[in-house]
Amino acid sequence: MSSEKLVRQYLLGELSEEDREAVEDRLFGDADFLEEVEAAETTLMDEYVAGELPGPEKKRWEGYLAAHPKSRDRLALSRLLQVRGRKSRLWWLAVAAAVLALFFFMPKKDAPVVLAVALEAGALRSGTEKVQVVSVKPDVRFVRLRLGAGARATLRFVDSGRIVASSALVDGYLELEAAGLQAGDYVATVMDGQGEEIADFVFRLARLP
Amino acid sequence: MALSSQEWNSFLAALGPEPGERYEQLRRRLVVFFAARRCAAAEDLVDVSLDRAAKRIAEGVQLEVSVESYVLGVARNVAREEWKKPVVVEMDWGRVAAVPVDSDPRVECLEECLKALPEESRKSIERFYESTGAAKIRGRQELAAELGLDVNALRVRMHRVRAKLEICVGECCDGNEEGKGAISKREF
Repeated sequence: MSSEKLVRQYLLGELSEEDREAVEDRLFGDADFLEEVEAAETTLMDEYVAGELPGPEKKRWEGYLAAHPKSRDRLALSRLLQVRGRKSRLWWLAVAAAVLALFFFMPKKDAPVVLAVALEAGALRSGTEKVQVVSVKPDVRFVRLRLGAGARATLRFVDSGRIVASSALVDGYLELEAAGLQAGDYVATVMDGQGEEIADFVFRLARLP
Repeated sequence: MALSSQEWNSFLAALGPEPGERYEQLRRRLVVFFAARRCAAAEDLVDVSLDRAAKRIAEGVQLEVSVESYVLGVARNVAREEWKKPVVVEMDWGRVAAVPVDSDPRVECLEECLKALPEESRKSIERFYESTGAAKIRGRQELAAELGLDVNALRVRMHRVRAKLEICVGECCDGNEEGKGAISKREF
């Protein structure tokens, strides 16, 4: 039988008289063994408070406690430490949940930044008319222009008259790589499936520092 | 009957160098001894045994064994006498164990005493009491491995830390700040 099991049985009052006396002899002759016995006593206190002792052992352990009334302080400490441990575990679980939530909901470092803008159909003219401005920050990789119903669209740079993009609309959006767009005025022309022009969207693209 | 100072001094002399520590260990052994034999009021019987042994030693009894073994013999006699007496012990241990923690004045003291522990001891005992059930077993195995101990040695080490905490919490609750000081000065 292991020393640990022997000591546990001794404290629970499960040993024969002969074995009990052998444990007592060692208890009074070996300082290390005293500590081992007290550690086993602490373990039983913890298990008792945690409700982990099976019925018969619980009953026998209560016999030990009844003989040793001062052990109520030790029981109380077991309970305090266990409750504190449980609270700490819950706290760590809450922290872990928060970290996971941050991980899932924060923009990923490598994920491309997309600027989506809904434009109003109409012409940009100087003077009194309102100018639609699309401001693009340096970290933006894609610009998605919402142009509404239509099959495809072309984007023309007003200053040079050059068509800088021509592609199909996806869910009403024209998607462009931000790197290919210089600052200035643009006209996006939306066409239907037969190539007929439906609407023009005029806007000014500004590059932010 | 209480010991005279002469009897007390003879007993301490028989305990040799560091008599205080040996005496304290004797008391701890005796408490376990009487509780394991299910003798009611173990602490009182400890005093009876020590007083009786000290008187015999002061009277000049020839010790053929260590003081500890001699005291054990005396304690066995005290236990036999005790068994002849009727025992009435009524305690609701379940209720004691279920004291509501938030209203326990020891909560604050425990926090203070934990802070006074060396960092490694504090972290270890917090981890030791962190889990329940299967997670507890796994957690303690991991902690033991990290500290280079087997689980039984970990249990003994944590008991040692806890014993210091018990003293600190007890003294803190009695309004004695030295409890915390004693903790920080001790080796763990």
